Amino acid sequence: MKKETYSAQALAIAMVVLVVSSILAISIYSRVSKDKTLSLDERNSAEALEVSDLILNYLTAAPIDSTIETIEGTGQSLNDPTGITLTESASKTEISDLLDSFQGVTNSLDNLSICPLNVSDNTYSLNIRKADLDTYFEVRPGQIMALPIKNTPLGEDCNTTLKATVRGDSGAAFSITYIYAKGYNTEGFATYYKPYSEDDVLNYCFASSGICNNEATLGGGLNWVAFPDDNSTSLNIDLNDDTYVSDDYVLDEVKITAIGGTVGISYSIPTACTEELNMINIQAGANCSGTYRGKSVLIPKKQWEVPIFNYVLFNGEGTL
Amino acid sequence: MSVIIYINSYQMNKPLSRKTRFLIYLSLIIGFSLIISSIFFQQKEIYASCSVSCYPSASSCSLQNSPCGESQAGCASGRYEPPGKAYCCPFQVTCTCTPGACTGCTPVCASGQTTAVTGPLCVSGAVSSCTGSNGCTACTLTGSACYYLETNVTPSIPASISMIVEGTTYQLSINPLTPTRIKLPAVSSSNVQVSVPTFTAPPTSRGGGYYFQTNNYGVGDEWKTWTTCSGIAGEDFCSTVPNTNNTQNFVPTTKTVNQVLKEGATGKISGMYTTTDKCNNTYKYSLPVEGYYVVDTLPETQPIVIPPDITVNGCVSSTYTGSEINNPLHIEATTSDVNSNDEIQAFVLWLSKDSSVPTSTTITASYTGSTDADLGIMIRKNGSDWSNPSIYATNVALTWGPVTNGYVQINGENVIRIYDVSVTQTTNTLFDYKLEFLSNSSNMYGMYNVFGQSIDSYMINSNILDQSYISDLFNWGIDLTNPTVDNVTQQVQDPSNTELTWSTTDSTSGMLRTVMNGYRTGGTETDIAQLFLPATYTVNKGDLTLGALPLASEIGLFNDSNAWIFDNNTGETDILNIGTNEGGQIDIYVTAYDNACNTNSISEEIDLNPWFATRGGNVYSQNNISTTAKDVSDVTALDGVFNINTLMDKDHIDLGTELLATRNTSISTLIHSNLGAVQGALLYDSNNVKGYWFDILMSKFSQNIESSTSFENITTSIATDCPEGTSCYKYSEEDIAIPSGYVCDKPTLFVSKQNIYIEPNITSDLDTLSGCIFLAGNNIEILDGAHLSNGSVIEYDYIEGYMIAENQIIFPLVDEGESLRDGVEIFGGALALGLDPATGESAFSIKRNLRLFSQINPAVVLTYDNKYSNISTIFFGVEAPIYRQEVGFKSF
Repeated sequence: MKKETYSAQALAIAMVVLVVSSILAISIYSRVSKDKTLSLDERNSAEALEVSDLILNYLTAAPIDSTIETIEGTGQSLNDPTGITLTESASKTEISDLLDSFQGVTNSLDNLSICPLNVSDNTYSLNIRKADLDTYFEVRPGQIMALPIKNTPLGEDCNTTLKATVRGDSGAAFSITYIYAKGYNTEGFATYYKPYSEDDVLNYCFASSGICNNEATLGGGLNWVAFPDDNSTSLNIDLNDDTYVSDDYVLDEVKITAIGGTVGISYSIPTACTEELNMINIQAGANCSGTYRGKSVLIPKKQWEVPIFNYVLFNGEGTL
Repeated sequence: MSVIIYINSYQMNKPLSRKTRFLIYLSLIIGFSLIISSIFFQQKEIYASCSVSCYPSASSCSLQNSPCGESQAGCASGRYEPPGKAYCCPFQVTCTCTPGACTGCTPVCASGQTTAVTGPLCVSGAVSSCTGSNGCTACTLTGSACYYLETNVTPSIPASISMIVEGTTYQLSINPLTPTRIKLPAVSSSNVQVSVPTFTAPPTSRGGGYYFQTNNYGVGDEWKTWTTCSGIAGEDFCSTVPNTNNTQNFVPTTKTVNQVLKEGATGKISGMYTTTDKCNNTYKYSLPVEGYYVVDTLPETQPIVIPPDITVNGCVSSTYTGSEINNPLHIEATTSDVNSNDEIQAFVLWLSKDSSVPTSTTITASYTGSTDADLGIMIRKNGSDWSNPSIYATNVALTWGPVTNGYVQINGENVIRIYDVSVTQTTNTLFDYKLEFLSNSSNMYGMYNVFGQSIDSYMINSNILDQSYISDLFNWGIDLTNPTVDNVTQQVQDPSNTELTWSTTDSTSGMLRTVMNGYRTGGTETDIAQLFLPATYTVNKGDLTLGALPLASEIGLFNDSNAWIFDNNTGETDILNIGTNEGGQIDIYVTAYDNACNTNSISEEIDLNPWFATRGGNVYSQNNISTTAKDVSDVTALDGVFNINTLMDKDHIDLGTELLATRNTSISTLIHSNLGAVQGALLYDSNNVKGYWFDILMSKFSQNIESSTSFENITTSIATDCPEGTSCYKYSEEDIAIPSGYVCDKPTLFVSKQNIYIEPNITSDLDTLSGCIFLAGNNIEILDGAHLSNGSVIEYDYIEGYMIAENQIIFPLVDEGESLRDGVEIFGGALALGLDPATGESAFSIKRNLRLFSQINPAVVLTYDNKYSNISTIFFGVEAPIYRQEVGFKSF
């Protein structure tokens, strides 16, 4: 009996196997290639962020006054709305130059092991400018942000615009305390503080339609001043206003305390009044292999006291 | 003559012929001629015989008739009597006749009349007569006047007789053994009539009428004997005749209707018809119809039984319905009727604010709501038995209307729910139902006269209800309002005695009892309490054991043996002696009961716990702020006790004036919220970090330490102990003790890794930048210092400084041996971070106890001072938290 052969059939099967194998191989390659790309992007992103942190670390290690003085020594002004932008790349060393000018700060931007500048297209950037009303300083609950005038010479136009916004919990609130003093010594410390008066404090709650967002827990809203939570409202504080002054006391400090949630505070003091109370917005960034990441900080030119001295009575445990 | 002819013709009923008429005329002419001739012949004979024209006829002149005046004895002289003749002759004697009396007949009246006198009204106007002779000629003889005949006859007997009592007709029985029962007339009612059927008088009379006689026997035949119409005691009467009313009032001669027709009384009523005679004003009486009555006996109601009730608290009342006592009011009314219990139709309960009840009410078809001044409730038989009784209530107009849903309303609000209605008829009839008085703006209140009456079938006439016999059963008050217990106030006398002034009011039923309980919460020492009574305050009301606060339901029990009980007392001022109780609180509960057992209670907390007050700055607590400040704005004893530098005074004593915040849920109420303080609960504070601040502050201090001068000894002042530096610090690994009187006349930092003990007073130099900050790694304790209090005024130890303790700030119990203990005033601030407080204690721990003076004196008073915030920068520098935020976009 003659045995039949099917050579075409075998060929067809072999072709199918080859095609399927090819598809699988292409898929695996594509996947691996994509993962590799993603991993590289992720690494670049992390490195960019780390470089940004590093730059900020260098800058904030020195008093902000030193930074500003150095920058303004170059003839540039922080009052420029766009601020001052410095770039660090394989061909530019503006940031390194700034850092080098700080005494005791070592330029460490060269030859970084991450996001090195010798890799093409990697660049670092630094922007420094005066904070404006759109730049909010975040105050955590219980913390304070202050305008520590402390005998600072003030110009005539000191109408300060202050804005507050919710940062997270809409039920937050804040208080503004006006502190008056007199008898400043040479170190700028006041000898006498105006005796406490209930009028020295105003408490604001973020509110919608005039009702505190968190009215239930805020004592039913009693004595709270509703502050619209839609960023539409600002407060005006005239740092020279006589209404804040009595018995030869002058406004020593305006203290904003966040209550119950993080509160964003921004303000704008006319240049004619003083530059001493401004905040400086520093933004550092890095472009690593095409991936840009950056960080920013707000640094007040004049700082304030530790917030725990804001209490008359603090009971950290148990019932009061 | 023509006439006669005509008449004759007419009578013959046919016309006469001419011939006949001629013959008749001829006959008449002849007849007449004959008569004339005859007369002429006789005359001639009279003259001959003298007797022609004598009576009686021309042919009979007789002696007897003596026509010529002769007697029978003979003829007159000159004449003779012929033999055999009965007359005298000669005939030619002419005699002249003289008429005599007319005689010879008996006068009679015309037919239908009589000479008998029948009455003045029957005089006919005619007289009786007859035709007699006067001896010459015939004459008419007249007699008596004539009368018509009397035609009136006795009428027939009435068919029946009845009595009408207040509109209801009772047909009287004619059998004295089975008298008809009639309704007992209402009180003061005279609406009773007697009646017989009407009748028509015959024409033989001049009219008809009705006549009644009543013989009221009274009860037990007391007046049965008939004497006259007035009876024995004026109880009877007869009606007057004529009287054309067939229904006539029942009017006893002298007694009232109610005096005669009383319960069980009997009597006989006679009724007759009368007819009036034609000829006289006299009457004919029929035979009487005699009916007999007996007056109904009212059902008897036994005293209403209200089952005794008692409130949960043990209060009882037999005179009031309160919100709890006798509510529902359980009514059990037992009634009976000697006639028959079947006759009982209803039971009326009437609540009236005055003493009157309508004697007669109307049952209407609908109920539209009642008035609280007069409100009646009636349980009425529905059908033939009591299986489904109906409920009625009075409308505003005091008419009865059916209550369909069981609710009595006033002003549209349900005020009474009537339920569990049952009526049981056995040998008597028991009405059993409940009245639940509901509390609302229209509810009934006040004292009511409660009237009751069982109603039998005789008392209900169609839709009229006789309530004239309703009885005033008892007075019952309704008070659904709790009494008022006014605020219990305290007036501290000394550390152990305080005046307790209490008062209670109840405008509806009045106060019955006040129960005063005392309980103990917390504290370090527990003792009995005593209450001393006015006016001498030497009499102890009793020793009260101050137990733990029980369940609310166990407070203020009416007969609590462990309580001070005041009966009929609306309040007074007593003196409470707390003995040796220390700390915690004594809760005084004043529970008032009014006469309706309504109760109300308030409590007064005698807080022996120390409390604090702050002014300025923020107050924060991890847990609740449960300390309650007292309103001491009118306590003059607080004048001048606080340091002049703090400007603290009694008008500002409160928990806080700026911000009071807690991580927990509650904060006590502010006393002076008008000062502008705000509150916040459930608030997170990022500063509340344990085991952090001491280290971080030390870290900050280490960065600023160069600007300050260290010193070792602590004597009297910083200037003494640290003469060189402008700011100084004292650091110790061990405890630090700050002696009393120490002056912080420079900016100074005391740091102990352990504890800091501060002995008041501690001051600063107000004319320089100075003050002490105390930073302890563990606790800060405020000791007693010098004892300042005296007399009856609590004085305050004084500390200027800002205290920060990683663990606790403790105010231990001091001045235990003193009658008055000092408080503490701090000008600065105090932070107790609570790293590891003692069990049961808070980070900020006040153990100073002013005992009863805690009612008016805060143990710790804190006033915030901004200068420490400033001084802090000397030691800890300044800061500005820097938060980095990312900008740009993260790639994916």
